[in-house]
Amino acid sequence: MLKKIIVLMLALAMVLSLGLVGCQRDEEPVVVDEPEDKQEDKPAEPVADKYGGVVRVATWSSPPGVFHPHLYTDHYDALALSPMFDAMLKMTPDLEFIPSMAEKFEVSEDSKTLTFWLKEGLTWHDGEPVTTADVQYTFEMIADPGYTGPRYADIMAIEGVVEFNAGEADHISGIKIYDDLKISITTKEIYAPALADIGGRAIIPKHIWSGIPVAEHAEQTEMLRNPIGSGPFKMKEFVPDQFVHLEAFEDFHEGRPYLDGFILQVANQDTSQAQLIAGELDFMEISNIVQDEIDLLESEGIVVEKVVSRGFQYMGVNTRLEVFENPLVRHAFAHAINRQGIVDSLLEGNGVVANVPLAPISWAMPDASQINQFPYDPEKAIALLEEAGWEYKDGTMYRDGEPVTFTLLYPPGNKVREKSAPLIQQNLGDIGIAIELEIMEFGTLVERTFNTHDFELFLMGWGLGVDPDSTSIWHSDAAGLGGWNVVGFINDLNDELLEKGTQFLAIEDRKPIYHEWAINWNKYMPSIPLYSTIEARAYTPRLRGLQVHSFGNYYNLHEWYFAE
Amino acid sequence: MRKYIIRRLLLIIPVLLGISIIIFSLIHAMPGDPFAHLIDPNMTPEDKDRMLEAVGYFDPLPVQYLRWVAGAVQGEFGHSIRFKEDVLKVMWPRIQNTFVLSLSAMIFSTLLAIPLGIISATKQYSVFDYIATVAAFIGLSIPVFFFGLMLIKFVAFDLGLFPIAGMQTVASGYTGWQLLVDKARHLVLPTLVLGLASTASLMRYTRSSMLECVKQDYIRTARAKGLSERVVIYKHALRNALIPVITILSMQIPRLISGALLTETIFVWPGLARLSFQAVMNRDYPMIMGTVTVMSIVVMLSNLFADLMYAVLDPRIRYQ
Amino acid sequence: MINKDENKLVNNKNVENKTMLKGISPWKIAFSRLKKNKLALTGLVVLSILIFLAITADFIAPHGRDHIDLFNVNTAPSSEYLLGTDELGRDVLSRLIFGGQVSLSVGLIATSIALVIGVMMGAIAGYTGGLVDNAIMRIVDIVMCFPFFVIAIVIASILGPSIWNVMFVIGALSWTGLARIVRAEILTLKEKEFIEAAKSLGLEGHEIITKHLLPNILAPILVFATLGIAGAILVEAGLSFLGFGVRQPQPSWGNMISAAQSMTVLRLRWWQWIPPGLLIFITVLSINFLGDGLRDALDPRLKQ
Repeated sequence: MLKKIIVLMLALAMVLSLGLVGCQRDEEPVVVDEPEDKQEDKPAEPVADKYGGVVRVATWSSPPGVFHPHLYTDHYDALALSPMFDAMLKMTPDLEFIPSMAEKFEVSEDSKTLTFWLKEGLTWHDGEPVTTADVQYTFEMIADPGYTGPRYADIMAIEGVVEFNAGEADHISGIKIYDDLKISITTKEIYAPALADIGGRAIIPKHIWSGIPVAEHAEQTEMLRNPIGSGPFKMKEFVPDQFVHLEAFEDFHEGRPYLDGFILQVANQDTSQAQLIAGELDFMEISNIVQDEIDLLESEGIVVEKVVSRGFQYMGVNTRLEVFENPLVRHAFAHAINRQGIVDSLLEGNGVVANVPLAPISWAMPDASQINQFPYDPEKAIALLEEAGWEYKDGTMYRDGEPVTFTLLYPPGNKVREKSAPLIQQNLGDIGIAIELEIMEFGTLVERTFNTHDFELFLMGWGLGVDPDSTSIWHSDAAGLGGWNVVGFINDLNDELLEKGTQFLAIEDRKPIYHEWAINWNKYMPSIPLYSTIEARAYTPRLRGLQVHSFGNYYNLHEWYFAE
Repeated sequence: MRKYIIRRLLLIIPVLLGISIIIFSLIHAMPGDPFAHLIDPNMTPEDKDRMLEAVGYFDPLPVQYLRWVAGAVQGEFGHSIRFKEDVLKVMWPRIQNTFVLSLSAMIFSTLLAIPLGIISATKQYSVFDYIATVAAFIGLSIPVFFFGLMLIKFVAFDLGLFPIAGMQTVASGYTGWQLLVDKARHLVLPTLVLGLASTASLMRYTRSSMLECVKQDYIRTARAKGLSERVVIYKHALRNALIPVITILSMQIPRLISGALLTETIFVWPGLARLSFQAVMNRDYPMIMGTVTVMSIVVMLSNLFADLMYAVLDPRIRYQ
Repeated sequence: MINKDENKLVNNKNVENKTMLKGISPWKIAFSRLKKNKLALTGLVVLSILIFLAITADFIAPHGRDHIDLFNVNTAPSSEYLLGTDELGRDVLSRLIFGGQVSLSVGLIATSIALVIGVMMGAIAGYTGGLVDNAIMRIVDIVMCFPFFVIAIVIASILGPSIWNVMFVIGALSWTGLARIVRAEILTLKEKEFIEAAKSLGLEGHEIITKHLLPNILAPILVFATLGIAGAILVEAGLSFLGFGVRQPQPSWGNMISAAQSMTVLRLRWWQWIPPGLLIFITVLSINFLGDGLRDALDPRLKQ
């Protein structure tokens, strides 16, 4: 009896001492560093001092481990890929493309041919030289008939890709190798996103992959898990469901990164702030800002940088259904939903109301005065619906004598979006439209919307690329089953402008086209844009030299360093 | 005895077959496909169809099922769609992690529950008994994730006693003893959360089993012989009382393995249940089949083990 | 303390003796036993209050269940909102009261489903025996092997998100234990004389089961049912945490705490997580106390 109690007490003591041991060890470095932390704007430190340290970045789900820039299908793999792979061009925080692996590049007179000169002495992580043959191989791998990844549509604009894919040619005719360093790539038509889709394409090593038929690439687990790239960090250790550990690539062409390592660490979104404060993490993205959370982080000395998101949230409307055919109905919805209220209360001001399907920072965004703002106005909404032939009686909206009810589908996951659903329900209820809410898991929602068009209203968001070209989302060609024009927007002017928009390379030439396109879209409003959020990046104050922006965090990852 | 074991092992086959057919039908009845999460404007529906075809999505279901069974019989569970890796290889480290966590929870709850249960029973209706009983009920009544979040908030965050999440400090460079301590510290809170409910129910069982034994005739005989109360309780009553307890203990195994999902989610513990959950969310069909099969086999083996222990410990029971 | 207990014991014996004389059913005995179990009684009283609140929710809730007030988001308790508001400015107290309706009915209905399936399967298997018994027991084995949450989520996403489906899923996966108990009890009862007698009288199988067998095993069924309700409430909370329980805007205690699972809420807004957490806890605790009391009261072996 007594023995048992003693054993028990010993066990308890052990548990407690584990806690205490760890406690002491964890606190040590923090105490040492604290006085340094306050000196935010110190003059440039001597370069030698910047080297060292490992940054731990939060990810909400484990990368499955398909570390191949053209075969991965999981967003979380991309987080680990971007430090490991490099492209000929890269995008600056001002959204301009500048040379990365390329020394320089040229655009031909007719704007169809891009010529790149690679830097001399570039090497892969395994020490082999990077040549134009690798560039050619990258595109031929994607164009290969046996290719199983999702990136084929990105490169179809290149001359000869379709023929190569059909097995009619040995090489892509539009890609011309001059020597080991000079290569040119020609598109069939002028292709506006060429700089991003061609210049910004991650290059993969030919010497690693060319020995294996493309159709079997996805099965080469060992090679996918131990990728060879040319980016600033290379693979050190991948422990699925826990972390991806990358280490500095000594021969990176812009110089060895200051950091010794980069770790992508799986964390729980609900407890990660606590981990950041406790020093278990160094950097994380916050997609939905909660002011109290930001206050807490900042009071603990964490740096919080806000950036505008690169997308928007919307309520999709199935315009194929007769009841939603009339644009007045959609306008009425836009007036009825208190979108400013969502921004003010649910987002605590960290967002803007959206009226066109573009990222708020895009150059394609027309001036606010040119588009209808659809301010919150339930009376106007009722008036518009009555104009469309609906009837409003005693707080209920009737159409052909029947009370109007719709089902709004939405997925869990994004907390603000989840909360906006009952708000929209209440807003539409105020103009007499009964809304049935149906929350469903993402895969199911995709089946109901994109794959079968079996829906009335739904909530979702788009994260957009840098280029405003939205042909794949809004062109009538994409309105079929499985296409991204899920709301079924069919409009001739819309198609025409989208097609015209990609036929110029210079932003100045494209701007007026996209402005007109956005104004036209806003006029028909095939779905109701709700808001674009302001996001945040939070990181430990010891971490310096970051240049984060809406479209990426790792633009200058090799220049990040820890202040000591 | 040997015949009995063989018969029980053979019985596993039809049950496994039944499970696999039901699960297979259910997961394919779920709306969605393995690439539903790929909402990428640069991808065309044709791209997606090509990718789905490459993983055999469009083959008739019976064909897919037979293909799976044919592989499974040879120990090949196919290739995970999401991980692009052999299902068994993906599962193996998770099985180990799950094993560590559930073993630790089991040891914790056994060490705590059995002594407490015995004391409770020997001092029936004492203050200690009341407190222990109420405490056990409290343990049974707290939602698991709620308890976990409270521990994270108060113990890990406010007091800083233990790490908040994960299995180890990443890239710590620890070796030997330090590494062990680090891993042990990460294990403490998940163990408490996972072990809570089993501790409570195990304690209740120990108590009532013990109470029942104390009333038996042979205990009365032992007392009548003039043996000291200590000898009576710990030598005679305890041994018999523990037989049903051991059965209960082995019946906890399935709960510790598949029921660990909430614990694994809160503490970002890379175990089998979370793998299975994510496979469902991603419609990674081969992965779901693999994880469910493994969990089912573990459940059946632990049930068999429970029955065998019963037979070994209780001489009155004979299996044919 | 000990004296008191002994007194009670004596009193109780007297009561029992009297009732025996009057020839009153074992149910009365059980009830009188239950009455002296303080914990069980407390559980019963608390439960009755909660059930009363849930039934009268429409009359006593101070605000509308889903009424959103964007000007009063996340406000602390005040005279207007006695337990503060949530992130949409909805009144926490009103949602707790309506949430009780949902949580309690999920518990009750899910358990009823489990009860129907479990008793039916167990009774048929135990009474018929042979091939049928074997087949049913294999089904029980299969369902027992299912990893609960994973299968629950698969079924939930096939059926779609409604509160009825949540009840069905929980019920359909938790009947196996009961089926085994019922089968075992029936196997032993089957050999008893009165069943032989009933058979020789030419009664049909289903009549024997429903009229003679089941009434004799009501006790374990009742205990299972009580504890099952507690389990179902906890399971619903767990499913909510994973995003597959009762869906917003309909409140359940489970989805109310899981909506408040962030560090910020835990730190700054106690009124959003303590009350639903406490209510689940108190309810489950009360049911467990009651169930345990019932078990003791109905156990024929525990003769006083």
